[in-house]
Amino acid sequence: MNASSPAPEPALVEQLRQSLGMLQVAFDAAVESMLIIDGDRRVHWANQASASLLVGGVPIQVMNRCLDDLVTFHRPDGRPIPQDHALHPCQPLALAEAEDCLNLTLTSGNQITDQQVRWQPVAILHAKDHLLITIRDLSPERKALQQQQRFMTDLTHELRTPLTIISGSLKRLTRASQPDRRSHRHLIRAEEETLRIHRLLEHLSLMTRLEVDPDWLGVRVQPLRPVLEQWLEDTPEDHQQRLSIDWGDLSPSAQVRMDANALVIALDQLVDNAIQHGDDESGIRLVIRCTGSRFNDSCSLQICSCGFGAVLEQDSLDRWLLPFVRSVAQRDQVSAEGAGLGLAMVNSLVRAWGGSVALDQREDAEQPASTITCVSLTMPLITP
Amino acid sequence: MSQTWSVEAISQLREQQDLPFVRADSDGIVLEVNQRFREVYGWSDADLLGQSLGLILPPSFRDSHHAGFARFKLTEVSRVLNHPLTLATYCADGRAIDSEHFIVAEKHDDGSWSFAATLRPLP
Repeated sequence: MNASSPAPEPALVEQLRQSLGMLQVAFDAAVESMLIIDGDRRVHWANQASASLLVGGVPIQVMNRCLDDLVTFHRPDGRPIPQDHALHPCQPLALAEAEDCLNLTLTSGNQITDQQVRWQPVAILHAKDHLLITIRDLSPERKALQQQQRFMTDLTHELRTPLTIISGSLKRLTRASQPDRRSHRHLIRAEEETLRIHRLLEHLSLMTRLEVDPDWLGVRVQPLRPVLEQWLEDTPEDHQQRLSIDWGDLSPSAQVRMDANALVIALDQLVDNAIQHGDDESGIRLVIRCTGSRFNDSCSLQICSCGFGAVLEQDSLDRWLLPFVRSVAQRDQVSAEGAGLGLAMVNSLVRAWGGSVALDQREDAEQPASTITCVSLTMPLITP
Repeated sequence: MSQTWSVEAISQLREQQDLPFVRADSDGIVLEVNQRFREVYGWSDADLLGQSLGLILPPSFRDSHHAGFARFKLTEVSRVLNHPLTLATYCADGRAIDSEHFIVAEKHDDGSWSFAATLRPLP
């Protein structure tokens, strides 16, 4: 079209019609179901995938129908969504973008599981706001994850027995060898490496399971302090001697939402890391803080240790939470520990109860050339 | 998808069981309605002939109708043709009556399409 002379109306209409047709082709080709509802929860627009899902028909058949007459949303465990859920029929149209993993019950009575439902407000001029809802089938991804988990479980099982035999043989050989011989050092190194492979397998198995089913953890509301006290009591004595705990104002009755076994695994891992990578002389400090605000009550556990080396950029620290990311401390002839899954596993455990993990480094003001590394994990604090 | 029809076939379709009937050109402009259509839905020729088919759909259905129509012009593929489809039909007095639509399309030698539908008002 020439910019200086507008196209005559019929040509413009034809262009607009083509554009509209193109848009509809694109939306109908989408695998995700998409629909726009208005303030009365009536369907204002829908693509083919949503019509196929909801009525087994064409988009025009869902037009103007109330969303709640087409579909009912349920939690993955089958319970109805709570009244304060953004998609509950009692709620006004959601004002913020969000998503949830939900099951659907259709008018036909069919139940569809593992759907990722996302909603997003759509501001329309001269009209009340609308809501765009997209629904994506997660079952193929979940099936792939389950296959991956089965593979990992089988692999771990197959490798565990030969590893145990190798470890036992190495222990016997080490006991029988002369400590001053070079071969003794090699045997010790081989033993450490075997232990490391064993640990990696356990971590990998745990992470895969969490990825497939985060609800597998026994997450429940429980007092935090008794769990920490029990963990401290069970901690090896040489670790205990290096640990100092700042309980803050944590009362014995303060309740958090977490899995006690998972918390113990996470804390053990963080203390191991601090010992492995930290300065042998310095202590390890555990600081517990509970912060309450109206919208985000949480309890944080921070483990800090002192080590050597320059302070890293935040991006580098954040990458430590990814699997197999190598830290500054590289493996060498004397240190068997290298990149692994420790922090990634801690991250998976903490995220499963709705918490988060953060890393922080700073120079040690008291000891030149020393760096303090802190790992903080959070858990929801439940206020009565 | 397309089905060949003759003037006689259209006439037969139109009078079949005395059902309401509407025919439109490739732009979705109404060319013809039968007497039964006028009786059931209350529209006159003056109201409809030369107007968009969207007029006989409730306003909330029109976006979807136009989008589907525009898509058909690009792809010549549609899932609404050649099978019964329950849709609301808009009457001249503003009421909406659920009707079973049976829509057919024919491609002419010059490449253009025309559309025809019989409608069965549902109780």
